[in-house]
Amino acid sequence: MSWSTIVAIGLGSYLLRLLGVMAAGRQHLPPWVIQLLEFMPVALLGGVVAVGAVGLGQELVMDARLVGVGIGAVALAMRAPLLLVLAAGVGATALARVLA
Amino acid sequence: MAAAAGGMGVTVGAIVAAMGTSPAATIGMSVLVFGGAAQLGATGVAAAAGSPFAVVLTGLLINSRFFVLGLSVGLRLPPRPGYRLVGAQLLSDPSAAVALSVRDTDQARLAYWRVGIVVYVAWVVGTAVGALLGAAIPDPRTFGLDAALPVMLLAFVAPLVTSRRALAAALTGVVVAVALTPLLPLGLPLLAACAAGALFGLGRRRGAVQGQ
Repeated sequence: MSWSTIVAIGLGSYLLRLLGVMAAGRQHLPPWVIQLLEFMPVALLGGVVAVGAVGLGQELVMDARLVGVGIGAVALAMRAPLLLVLAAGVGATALARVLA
Repeated sequence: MAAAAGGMGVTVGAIVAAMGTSPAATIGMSVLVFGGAAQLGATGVAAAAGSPFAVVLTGLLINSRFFVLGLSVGLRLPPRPGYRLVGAQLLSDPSAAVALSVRDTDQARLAYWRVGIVVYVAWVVGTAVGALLGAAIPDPRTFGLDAALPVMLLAFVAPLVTSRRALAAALTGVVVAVALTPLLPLGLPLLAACAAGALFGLGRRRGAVQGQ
């Protein structure tokens, strides 16, 4: 990723944080602002995970990654420590790729 | 706390660098963006050849939750602008959690600074270590490392899914993004997933009436 992209995200993120901190207690924000933002990040993150698991450019591909993400999700649901979750997901992907 | 943030930083730094971002830019990203989910999310979109605009938008929309967190944390910070200008950048999940959980305001402020600084430094140092490791990996497909990004991102989403509605929003995001990926250039499917998530929030009040 290029520096300009990173700086743009960084500046915007700082402004978002600062706006929140500055607006705190100042005046009443309309409730729809919070409602709008409440579930947006989870939905977006769900989408990015999915695209990372089955997306290849604009194509959908079911390959070893999907196996890895599935195993990682299971490990996560079993409350495994983070490194184990990662190792399980990555290991399963490598294994599925060898077997396929 | 430092170990947890540092450990996550190492993994995120390694993944971001392995996906082709230079070590310096990977570290710079941690300094500026300071949010694991946003850093991985933006990297994922960039890796899927999303336009720079889509990459920036993804990072910002994910980090928009710090605006919401700031609304609560800001009440517990000293009103002086200098403190807020610096304190805003230290806003993270752990620092917000401690500032909001400590009852006494002075204690909460102190805890916010302490945790905020420790987590920030650990995060940046962690990603620096990870970036150097990740840069040594020639092709992320080797050893199944291309799955590391979605798996790690999943680990970042899990703590945010605190209700059935949040789970439903996340799953809707999955379905919308997958369904639209073959039809639209990347970025738009994710934007649609985002919009679907926003509807979940907006529909909340009317939700009870409509029986959603």
